[in-house]
Amino acid sequence: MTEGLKINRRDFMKEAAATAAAFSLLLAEEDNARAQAGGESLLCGVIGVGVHGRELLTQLAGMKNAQVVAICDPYAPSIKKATEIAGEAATYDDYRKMLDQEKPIQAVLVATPLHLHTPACLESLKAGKHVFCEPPLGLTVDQCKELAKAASDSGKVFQVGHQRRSSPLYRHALNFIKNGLIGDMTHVRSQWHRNESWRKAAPNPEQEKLVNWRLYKESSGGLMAEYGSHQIDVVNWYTKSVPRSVVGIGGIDRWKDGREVYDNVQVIYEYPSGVKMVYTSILSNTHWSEFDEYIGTDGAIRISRQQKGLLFKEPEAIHMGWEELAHKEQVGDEQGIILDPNATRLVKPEEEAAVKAEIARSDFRRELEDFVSCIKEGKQPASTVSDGLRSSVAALKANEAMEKGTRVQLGEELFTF
Amino acid sequence: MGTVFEFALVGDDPRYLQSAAEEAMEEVERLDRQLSLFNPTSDLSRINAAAAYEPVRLEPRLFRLLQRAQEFHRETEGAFDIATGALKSCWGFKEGTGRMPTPEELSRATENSGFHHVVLEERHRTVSFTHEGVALDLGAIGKGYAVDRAVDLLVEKGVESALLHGGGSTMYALGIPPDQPGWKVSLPGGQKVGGSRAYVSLTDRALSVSSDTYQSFESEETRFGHILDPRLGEPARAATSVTVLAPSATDSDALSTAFYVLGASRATQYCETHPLVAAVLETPEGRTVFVGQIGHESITAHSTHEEVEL
Repeated sequence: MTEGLKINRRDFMKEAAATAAAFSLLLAEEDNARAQAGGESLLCGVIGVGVHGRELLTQLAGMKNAQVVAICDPYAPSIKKATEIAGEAATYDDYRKMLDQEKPIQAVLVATPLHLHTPACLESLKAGKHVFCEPPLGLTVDQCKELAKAASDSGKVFQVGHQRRSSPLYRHALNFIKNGLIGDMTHVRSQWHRNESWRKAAPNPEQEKLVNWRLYKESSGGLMAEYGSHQIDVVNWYTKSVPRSVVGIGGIDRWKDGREVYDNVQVIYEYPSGVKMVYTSILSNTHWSEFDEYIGTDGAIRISRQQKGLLFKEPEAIHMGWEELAHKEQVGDEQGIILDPNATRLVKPEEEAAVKAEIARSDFRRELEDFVSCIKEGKQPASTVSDGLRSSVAALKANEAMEKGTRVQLGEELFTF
Repeated sequence: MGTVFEFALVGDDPRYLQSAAEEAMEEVERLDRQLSLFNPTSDLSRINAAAAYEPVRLEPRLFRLLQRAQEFHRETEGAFDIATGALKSCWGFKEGTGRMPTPEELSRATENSGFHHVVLEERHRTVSFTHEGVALDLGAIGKGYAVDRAVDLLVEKGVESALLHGGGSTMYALGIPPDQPGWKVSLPGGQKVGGSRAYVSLTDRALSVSSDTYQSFESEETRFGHILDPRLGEPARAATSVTVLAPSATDSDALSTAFYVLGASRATQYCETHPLVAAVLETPEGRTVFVGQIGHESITAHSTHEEVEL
């Protein structure tokens, strides 16, 4: 894992420099004035308040430095539920109207059906807002690239909701990998398995596509887009590279109910360093549910449900002193060493309270706090629009590979804008 | 919440019902992530970690749930108390089947328990604790709240007939099942009418059971159950099993614990001022006491196998 990695690292450095230049313009005076007008709170609008959008609202409602002033969704029942969380927010059924009428909004969070990510983000950027967008950036590669360019040119904070980037556990695992604890990484195995239909109860046929947008190709990228993009992003992040090809087989095997997107996807990505990522997502079984496993010549790190990290060493690998002291857990025939990001933290007594509170934050909460502090402090988010472009293209191209039944090459031009 | 939730829905369109049930279950899963103490980054874990040091801002629904818990605490004169995390830990009921605490442990835990250490500030929607060591535990209300939220969602989806339960100890009967006047539910344990097993017929009503059957330990030939009397700091002994019927599962869940602590006579007083609440209590002496407007006519004794067993 050397040559490809070096080339990609150079690209990253160039891009980081460009982004840093853009950020020097970030906190324009008007932003400062608005921030002061809104006191300590960042004024937010949320576009799309379905299940995920309401989760964003729930987190924001618990934060002292963010205030949701407007919410938008064309589906009235979603608005009704969202007002239980953001009762004082103005409500809209069209995001263009919201952006037109709610001028004081400083940041927009986009949790719409996938086909609306790009237009909603573009309009928000055009209106001068900072943007948080769930991945992927769009329904097509062209849309993703258009948005990446617009976000990059805007000078605004654009954060992609890859929440694992804000996770102390995933960062901890990355440090272990960087320090060679699993040797040379050769293979990644990730999955998101559920046993459910993914179908919502639509009140009438006219609202079927509005409610069940995830099931139709005109509005959804299926399992690869909704889940795969998050897990692929970690491999992009860890290897500092993007996949160069993808193969896969998908099917509608369990839920033959008129849906158009696969309920069973089995995909393999090839990275320039030789790393292969095997990704699987199904809607027919919950065994092992969700995990990411990073496998190398000296060991493997497994992160389950984004909460628990375990290190499995190869018998002949060099064993470190701390491993004897670490907590262990038996998984099948193997014993894993529990990876705890806080296990060796030195805490002064006077800082103990703050540290306890800091540890007890969910990754979801962390990424939104990161978003707010990036805006207030002019920092670059942990997950940029370029990261979003990379995970989005990889996810969407897997769908193409499955539909065509061929190996799809992922040239560098797909990831540039 | 470390338990099993099951929903049975009745209607003409199985696909629609499947979708509605999945959405309701999704809401329960969300609440589990938010309220569970098993999840170290749940809102409840965050409150317990931080509220002694600074006010913790809450989202409105969770803040209202804590306010409701505060009301129950007031109405039951402290018999219902969610601020008993310290006591629960010291008696070993947080994760295990219990153990006898040392006098020092018990004294420290008692000092750190009680809703009077919890400050809810409505304007900023914050919760704070008066000192370190205080911990909230929603074990006596969370399941009921989750069942209610699932029911709300099903009703919104137009579902008219369903039976939902969390952990077998809290259930809500929505509407009526086909060709029946109500959902027949057997009362637990030894609660019998005329020597036969007792059933209650439920329609748009919740039922919860509290007993020490599944979590208790013995020490020096005395049995200690997991339901603690927050006022005394030790396992409650006023009843051995309590079944409560109430308009919502949040209410029945909280009140079954409160009545277990209060006993039959105080439960009767409560039901006199809350006519929609009724209960059946097993006293330590082995008597079955019916409290409130439960209506003996709705309790029947059957020997068929068609009824839902609790």
